[in-house]
Amino acid sequence: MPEIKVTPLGAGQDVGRSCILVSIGGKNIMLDCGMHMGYNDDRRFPDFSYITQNGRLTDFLDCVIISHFHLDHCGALPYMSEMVGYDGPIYMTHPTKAICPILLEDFRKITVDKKGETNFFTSQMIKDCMKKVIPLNLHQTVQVDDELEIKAYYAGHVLGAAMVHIKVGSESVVYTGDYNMTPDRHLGAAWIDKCRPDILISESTYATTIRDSKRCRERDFLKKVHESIERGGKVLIPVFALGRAQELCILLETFWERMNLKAPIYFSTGLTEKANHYYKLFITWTNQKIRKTFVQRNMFEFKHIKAFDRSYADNPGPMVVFATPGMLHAGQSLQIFKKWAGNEKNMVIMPGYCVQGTIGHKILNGQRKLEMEGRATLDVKLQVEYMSFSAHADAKGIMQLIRMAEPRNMLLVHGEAVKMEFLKGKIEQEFSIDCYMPANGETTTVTTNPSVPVDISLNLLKREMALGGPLPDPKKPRTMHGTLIMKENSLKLVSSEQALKELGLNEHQLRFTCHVQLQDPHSDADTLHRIYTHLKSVLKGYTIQHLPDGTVIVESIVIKVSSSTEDSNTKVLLLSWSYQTLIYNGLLPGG
Amino acid sequence: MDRECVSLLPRVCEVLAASGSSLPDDTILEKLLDWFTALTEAGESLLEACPCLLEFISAVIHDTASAPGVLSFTLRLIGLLAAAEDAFRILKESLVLDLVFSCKHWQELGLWEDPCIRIGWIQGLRTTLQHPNGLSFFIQPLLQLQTDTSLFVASAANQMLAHVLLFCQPVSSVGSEPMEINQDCTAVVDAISEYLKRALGVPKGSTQLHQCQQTLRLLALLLGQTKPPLRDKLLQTVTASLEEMVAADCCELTLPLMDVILDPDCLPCAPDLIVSGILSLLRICSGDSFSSSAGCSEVFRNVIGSGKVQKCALEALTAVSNSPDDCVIVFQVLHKSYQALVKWMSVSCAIDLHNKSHCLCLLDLIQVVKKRACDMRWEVRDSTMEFLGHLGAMHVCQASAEQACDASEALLGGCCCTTPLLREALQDPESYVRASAIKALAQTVMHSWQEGAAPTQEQILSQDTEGFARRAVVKFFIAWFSSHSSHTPPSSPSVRSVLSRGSADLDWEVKVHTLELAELLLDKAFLESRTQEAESDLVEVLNSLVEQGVISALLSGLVDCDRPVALKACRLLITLRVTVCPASQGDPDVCAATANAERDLNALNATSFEDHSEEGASAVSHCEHVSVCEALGSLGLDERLEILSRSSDHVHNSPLSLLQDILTASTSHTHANTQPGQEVIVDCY
Repeated sequence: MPEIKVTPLGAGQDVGRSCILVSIGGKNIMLDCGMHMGYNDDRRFPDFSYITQNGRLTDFLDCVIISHFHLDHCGALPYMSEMVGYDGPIYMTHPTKAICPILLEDFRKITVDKKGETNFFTSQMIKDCMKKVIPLNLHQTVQVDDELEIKAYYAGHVLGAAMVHIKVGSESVVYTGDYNMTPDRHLGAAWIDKCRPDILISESTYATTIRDSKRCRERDFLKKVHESIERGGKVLIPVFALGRAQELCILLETFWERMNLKAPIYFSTGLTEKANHYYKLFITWTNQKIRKTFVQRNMFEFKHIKAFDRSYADNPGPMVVFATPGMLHAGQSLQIFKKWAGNEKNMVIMPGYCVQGTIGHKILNGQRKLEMEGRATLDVKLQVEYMSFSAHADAKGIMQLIRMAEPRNMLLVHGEAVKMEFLKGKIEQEFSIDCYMPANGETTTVTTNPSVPVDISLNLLKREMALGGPLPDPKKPRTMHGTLIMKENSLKLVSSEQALKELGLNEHQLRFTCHVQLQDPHSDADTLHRIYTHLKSVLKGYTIQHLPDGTVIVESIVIKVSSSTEDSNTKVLLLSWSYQTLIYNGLLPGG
Repeated sequence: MDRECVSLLPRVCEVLAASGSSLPDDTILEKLLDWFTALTEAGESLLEACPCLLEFISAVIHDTASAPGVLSFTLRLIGLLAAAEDAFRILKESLVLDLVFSCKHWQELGLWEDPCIRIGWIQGLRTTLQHPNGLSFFIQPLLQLQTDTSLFVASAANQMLAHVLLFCQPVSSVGSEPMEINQDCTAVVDAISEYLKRALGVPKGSTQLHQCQQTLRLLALLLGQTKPPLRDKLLQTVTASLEEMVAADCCELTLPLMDVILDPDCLPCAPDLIVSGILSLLRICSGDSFSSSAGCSEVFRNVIGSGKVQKCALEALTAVSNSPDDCVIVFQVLHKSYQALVKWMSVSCAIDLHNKSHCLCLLDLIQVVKKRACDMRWEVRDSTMEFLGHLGAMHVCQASAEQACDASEALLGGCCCTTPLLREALQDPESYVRASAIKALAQTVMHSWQEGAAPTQEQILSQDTEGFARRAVVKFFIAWFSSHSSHTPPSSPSVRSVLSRGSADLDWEVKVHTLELAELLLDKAFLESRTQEAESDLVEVLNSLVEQGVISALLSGLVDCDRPVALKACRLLITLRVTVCPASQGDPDVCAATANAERDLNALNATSFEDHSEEGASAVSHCEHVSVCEALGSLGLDERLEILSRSSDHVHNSPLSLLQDILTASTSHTHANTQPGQEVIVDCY
């Protein structure tokens, strides 16, 4: 039986770096190639030596598909393609291809900035890697090679995020990446065809959560910023260059406009310009509201948000500053934090997850005294807030997607094991399909039942119709008898006569024989006659003949009787039949 | 070990033993092990330093409610401890080793199914095997795990088997020749050889296939690391099976078989044969070559226009280019790949412009480059610019004219072709292309036809929104100033403006490059003054450096929030101090330069972030006149260098910080959170 194999190298029962290997119809595909920010060494990347030693990835992989630009989904790509060595095709959507290098570059700069980093990719490597990327359009089927085809669907989550449908012959897999089933302020909801894949590989970050609406979180965020500004405080929002930053900028910009606020909003690195450029460029990927209002007013042209200069940090009065990097682990955001931490009027809002070993992680855990360089300590008096704005499907959303795609099997990744277990139970109960949740390095194998297209000869069809059955209907399966022949890579169902003719073969008939011993003192002829009479009485409706040459014939079964050479009381019955006579069950006791 | 860490560790152990699955971060256990490993490698006895570890181990392995993650960590920790012979003995006596390294124990608990237990088990075992104690005892369970369903477990088992086998092959201390196989280990070697022999062969069914794949991986690992006579013994054992497998042509085994068989350093035949073979293939790809042979037509149909084949061919060509021979045929395919071209050009430097076929090729090449420079895809345009840059950097001897010139001038006619293309690319909408064009211009900066490029570059530095382009511009100026003497030509950019723009850039790498430019200017200035050996010249040099804005760039760099910038500036200022204030000669009278330097220092004060630098700078600004040496002395450069030389997260990524984080996370967890709903959810980034 054909199989599909799925092996996560990352995101198997965890929310770390996503990297999932799929083998389908003889093709090997890597889904996402993410990085783990919690490590400072090679452990941040998936270990590709599990795929092949000596780094011959190109020989093994038919393609790599990246679902979206978040670093836990694409951060290891330059490492894989330029340092380990992969020259095959890499697919991602147009916006992801445009934005991915900005984030990779941002991350590279932060990493190198920290110092002590070895074995890390360079700017040139990011560029060389991006040159290998083939952009995807939504709903357009792309032929990777003669057999493998992929198609991207809208996933919400972030700009350019896509789900992919991977198909080889009649087998297929859908990989969701991260997705969101409810539209938000700047993106629409995920959508997919009823494509009935063999496996649906879905993220499950919020597998057990029914999330409150994002609106609530946004209102909460604006309230907190506003209160802080009102009492004359300064608000620091550490972000990564792109993604959440744009979302929050739109929020604040609209709020400032509505409330007629005057406090300045700054963005520290000037990265907004390029990022906003892409949001404008890929307006079709945003939600309907943004597209509609675009004619009157471009949401990404910010009136209130200006570039930051480091001298502004000392300016008196309230202000809001977006600064990179997002976890307060180096650079400008950390520097501003140190300056503002001592004043309880100020506030820092962490809009994303922080890994251990960063100041962001410490203050979110409630540490109020931070050790600094040279044995100095920093008293954290400012208000610390955590707000998760991430846009993942919750349990309800995941179920909704399953209803949309109608998969034959379900496989969960990108979530915590305990939560996955819960959702797995729910899915198996509600949809009666198997649900898998492999750990990293473990392979899930699903056998498929591929439909193989076969041509039927017109003659055979005509004959079937002549027999008086219903006319052939593609929606209703029915049994047909014929001979399956394979000629020039195509399969054809024909009548057996035609098959013999086409293949130039002769028909042979097989006869089977067996000997049965009976204890019977009568003569051979008497024994045969007794058998004849017995059969006549039990097999009514069958043609039974007693021929003068000493044989009894039941349809095509021939029966002869002879005496054993050793003992004349022992009779040997010779039975001989061609294949189809086996249907005469009950001819012989127990036979 | 840090005393503070030792005092925190018992509480951390308690937290971990009680934590279940609610650890604050998925990396902390790995990081703890890293720290323990580092301590062990530094020669410290972990058990002596932290006796609490024994209690921790005992608590975790006897608690049926321990989380698999913590158990896995504990298994690895036990392995780390048992790597030392005395600790091995203690653990053996307390029966810990027998308990935790028995698969049966975990199977009975129903935990063996969890791959994280198996991986912890095998990794723990692997670290244990640092001494001959019980080597052969562990072989059988290892061979079983070699075909584990988890890739991670199987791979670790392979590595461990390799480790065990290598252990049996001691290298003599005198030479690098390995000695005979250790007699104590013959049983181990025999067991593994026997296993290899059994496991290899043409697979029937998927289980056997998996075993074959894994065994081939093990074999590749072994053959790569062992030396004769062990290697010979292994080869002898497996040759027949390998031959059989190659003959069976099973596609799933091709890759692992290649790993075993191929020796990457050895080419199958003479390079020129390979080259001509590849060239024929490329000709077929472009439809240039036809053969009447019937068998070939099928091949032709598949290969013509195949991008994959062309790419492989060009890669092979680049790879064998270490052995240059005939560059005439090479030229016919060169325009297909800039990369191969550049590589080949650097090895075959005889371009004969009088040779007709060469000239025709050149014309073709120019056409291709021009066309590609305005391709729709930025990738193509960028590669073209990179190609021009590579050519610009390469010196080619023209066979006819006896002078050296750069390759782009020779091949593409410098000012008439290359320059307009590069200039135009400066306006490209894609920043990668702009940056490559600037880089290419920098490569050709030596040439007279490059005069006049600087003002455009200065404009890019102030206006381009992209770091790539601005970084390239500063590098361009570095190239410019290093190729031009101090007598700057009229079109020369203003040094001061480049430095001031560069050091105020938003991109820290632009700032680092700007400091490299400052370094160049410093070196040049002092090199020129050294030839005259007069003190007044030193004053003059300092004044000119202040005028150029070099000192200002260094000072603003010193207080930059990005560590590499501050580090570079700090190093340069120390160099400056060493040059200007030689300890033996005392302070030179550099009052004339002081007023200007003081102005810069005041400016520094205004923008300074760091408290201690403010003190330093304001101390300077209070004085009316202060010498440059005093000013430099007040900056505390040496202390600062020490801090800057370390990683910016060294405090927060330290073991102490890790232990503190574990403790705070556990308290904030037990206090059920002051604000409900504030749970920090693991999220993507």
